[in-house]
Amino acid sequence: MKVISAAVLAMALMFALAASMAAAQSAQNNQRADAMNMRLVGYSDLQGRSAFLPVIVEQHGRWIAYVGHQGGTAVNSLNGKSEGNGTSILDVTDPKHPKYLHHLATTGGALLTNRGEGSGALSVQVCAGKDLPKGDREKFYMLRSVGSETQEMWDVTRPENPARIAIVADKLQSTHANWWECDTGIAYINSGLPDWQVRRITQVFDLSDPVKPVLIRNFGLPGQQPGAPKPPSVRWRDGHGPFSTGPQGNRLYFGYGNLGDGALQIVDRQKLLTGPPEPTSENLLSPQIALLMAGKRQAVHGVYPLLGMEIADFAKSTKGRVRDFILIMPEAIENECREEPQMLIVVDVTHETEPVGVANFQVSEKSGNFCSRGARFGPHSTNTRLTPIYHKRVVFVAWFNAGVRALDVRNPFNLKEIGYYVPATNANTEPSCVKEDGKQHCKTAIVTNAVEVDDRGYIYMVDRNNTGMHILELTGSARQVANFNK
Amino acid sequence: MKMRNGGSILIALACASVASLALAQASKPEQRAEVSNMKLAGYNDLQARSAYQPVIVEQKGRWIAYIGHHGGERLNPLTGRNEYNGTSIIDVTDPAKTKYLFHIPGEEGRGETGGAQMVRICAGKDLPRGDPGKFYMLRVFGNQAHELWDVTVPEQPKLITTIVKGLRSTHKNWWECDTGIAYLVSGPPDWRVRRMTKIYDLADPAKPVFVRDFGLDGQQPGASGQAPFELHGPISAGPKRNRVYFGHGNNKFGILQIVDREKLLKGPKDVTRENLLYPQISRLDFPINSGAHTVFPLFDMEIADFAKSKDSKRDFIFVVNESIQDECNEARQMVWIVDVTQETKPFGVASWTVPEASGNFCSRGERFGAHASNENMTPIYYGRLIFVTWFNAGLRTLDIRDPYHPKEVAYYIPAITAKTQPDPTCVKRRNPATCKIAIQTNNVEVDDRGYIYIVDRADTGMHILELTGAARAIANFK
Repeated sequence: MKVISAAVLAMALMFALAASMAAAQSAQNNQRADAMNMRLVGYSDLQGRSAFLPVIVEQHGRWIAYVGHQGGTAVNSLNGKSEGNGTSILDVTDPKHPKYLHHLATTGGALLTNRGEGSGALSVQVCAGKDLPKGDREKFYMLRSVGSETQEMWDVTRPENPARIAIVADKLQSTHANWWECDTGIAYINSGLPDWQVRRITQVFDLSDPVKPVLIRNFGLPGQQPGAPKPPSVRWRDGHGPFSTGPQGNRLYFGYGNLGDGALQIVDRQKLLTGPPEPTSENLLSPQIALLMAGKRQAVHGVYPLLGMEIADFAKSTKGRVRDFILIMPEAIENECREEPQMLIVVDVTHETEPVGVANFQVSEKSGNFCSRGARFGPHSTNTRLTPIYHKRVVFVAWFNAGVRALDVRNPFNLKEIGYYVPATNANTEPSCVKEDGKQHCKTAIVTNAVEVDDRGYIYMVDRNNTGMHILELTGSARQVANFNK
Repeated sequence: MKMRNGGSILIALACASVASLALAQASKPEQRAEVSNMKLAGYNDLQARSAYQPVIVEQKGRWIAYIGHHGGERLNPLTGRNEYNGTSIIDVTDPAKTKYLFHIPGEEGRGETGGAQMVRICAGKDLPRGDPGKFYMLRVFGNQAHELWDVTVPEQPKLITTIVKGLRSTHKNWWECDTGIAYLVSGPPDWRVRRMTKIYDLADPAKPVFVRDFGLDGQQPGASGQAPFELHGPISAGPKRNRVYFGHGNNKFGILQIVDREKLLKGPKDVTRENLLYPQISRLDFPINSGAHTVFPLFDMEIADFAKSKDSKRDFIFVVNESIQDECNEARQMVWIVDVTQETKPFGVASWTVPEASGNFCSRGERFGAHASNENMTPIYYGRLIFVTWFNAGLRTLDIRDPYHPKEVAYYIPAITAKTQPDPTCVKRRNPATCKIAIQTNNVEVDDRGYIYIVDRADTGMHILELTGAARAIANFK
């Protein structure tokens, strides 16, 4: 055997390194993966589709990821056909090797290419029949939005072969993020109704029997209902969907707003479901516990409750030791920071009628020169699954070009970033553009749109600009904050 | 000089330069000074009077400290008589050699029921119709009255006039030296709360002119329902900014009220709901277990990390709660930072507290929590550093250049001395033997040279401090 000298070995290594760097640069992108305390476990390109929301459920021993897409078309590699972006269904039982099972295409109006609301099939929620009060125990059900017009119910018991079983609502004008309580079947569907004054409001449905949707009421802020005086714009505090704590918590947290002027609304769930349904100002107001105005700079897009938090440093105080909080975040909209800086705010709602902001979290712009990377820089949404592995310990936030950020939330007065993952851009990543002096210039950057976790603790992030889905896990000191022991 | 049990180098150094600190080391309980990035520049025992508000002004080349005291009675060595706590007047030109000049007695009574806790000074040259050669002191007389004194010769203060009397409470006043407008925290018997605001024009200090009564809607005579909690004190941003910020509540029912100054001063004055609401731009109600003692504006803050975004400049109010219960028998009282860039929708964005575990403060005795910040807006510190009193955790210095992320950069907890007394209300309620003795840093002020003055509620006196090290580098000592 030949002995290779250390110098030759070093040179070989340098060559290899240079080659791989060159490869990274030639792939039209300018950004490699950047990580702290998070590790890439697996990846799917999602057929190069723009992705909005991932949801991961265990079905008969398999782990299935459902990914709602924004508008566009791409070739479905399973059948070789070009299909309008809809819902990707993947087997992620082995997260190292996700298996693309099915693409549920969209057609018609959903084929909009602008990726905005009303394109593709943004929202997806899955419930097991055994959890739903009147579901078939063996089945799994998927509620999804299609384009602007429709909310559909699908049987996804066999995820390779989904079957549509009901239209929950149609002839809508807009759709967005829905919430479906699997234990009660109550769904809060983000809809646009032609006679309401703003683009999106909430339709409350009883989907306890998924094939027989029952509309309970339409809900929004007073002033948004039919017949009210015209608000300043159709986007005036339009709805982004709620977070429900179910019948036990009896609370719904609604985020409102698009470009600033947002609000967080705290709602009594019972009163919402059983109160008089006619959309009068009085009836709309009656389930409201509090409305926190976020001011003209911030909208409230994502909401995440942290209730019953014991503040370690308050242990010896006789009052105020245990507190309730809501994380609220706006949505960065403009590329390259052509807007007010958007940040996550922690709201203390211990005294629900007087919610007040107590803390904030921002990704430091300087830490990654994010305003200059291209695309949006700012928060969008958190994970919504409350697995005991992470709940009240770690929250994951999608931060567009700053990827996913892992926050230690054990003391909500003092959120700490303990991990992050910004994927590498790849050949599928579509550039993000801005206009400057009448000319358009574009940069290729990651646009992490949403993040979700599964009950095993894997973290799934999906990209708005077609980069695909990255499956991650926590490592190092960040992993210690999570609860993997029980 | 012999030190009780060694002592830190810092203490030894301070001790060497400040003779009066020897007293601090001859103390009974087991707490020595705890220090980070600050050093003791001087000390005065304030005749062992319980102290509330220090104010320091330059008077013709001398630097004079005026200290408002809570109620109590102590020997005044200058007169050889026992006197009810009132106002201490001290020459601090050389902070290492403070000189006690005069004590003006206050009202009989203990704690907040007597004394003369509040004091403000204006130079006659600043006041529109003041005598340019004179200096004027506005002080409370216990809970009964607001008084104006001539303190041109600080060794010989002279009462000029009593502005208003017959009150049932007083507290933290604000006096605009450039206009003479004074916001006097007062308790007229017919109002529904103990403390509201009486506004006077003191442009001519000898001829006070009543402007109006003001409070939150619901506090006025004849209103119904639960009255909003009483006032603590206002801070006016003056005619240029045209804003007055009012802080209400102590350890509960906190309210920040933002008021249009012009409308407040010129609006209709009858105390009706409509007239009280007319100058109000907005109010922010805090959770019921937090108060709003000091409300200090931080205008035009450039957020460095926002440099590449639109709109990187913002306005904030730095709100300080007041702890009032001993040994953490309440919710933690702390500091809140409210974004008021859009004034009609003030929005909390950050908060800060001393970590309890960092000093076992809940077990040290007496109050642990925030109380007040400095109010002098000297360019040495404004927008850079803010000083907050924290009772048994002493003085805490925060870097607030990015108000979204207040950061502690220094602190000073004085040593307990032989003069340090237990909380009188504890002594009254419990077996005095169970009342722990602790430092109770009550209020803080800075002077235009950058010295920092902290005074103690538990009779420990006044400590004059300087920043050192990394903390000093943040200040602007040009």
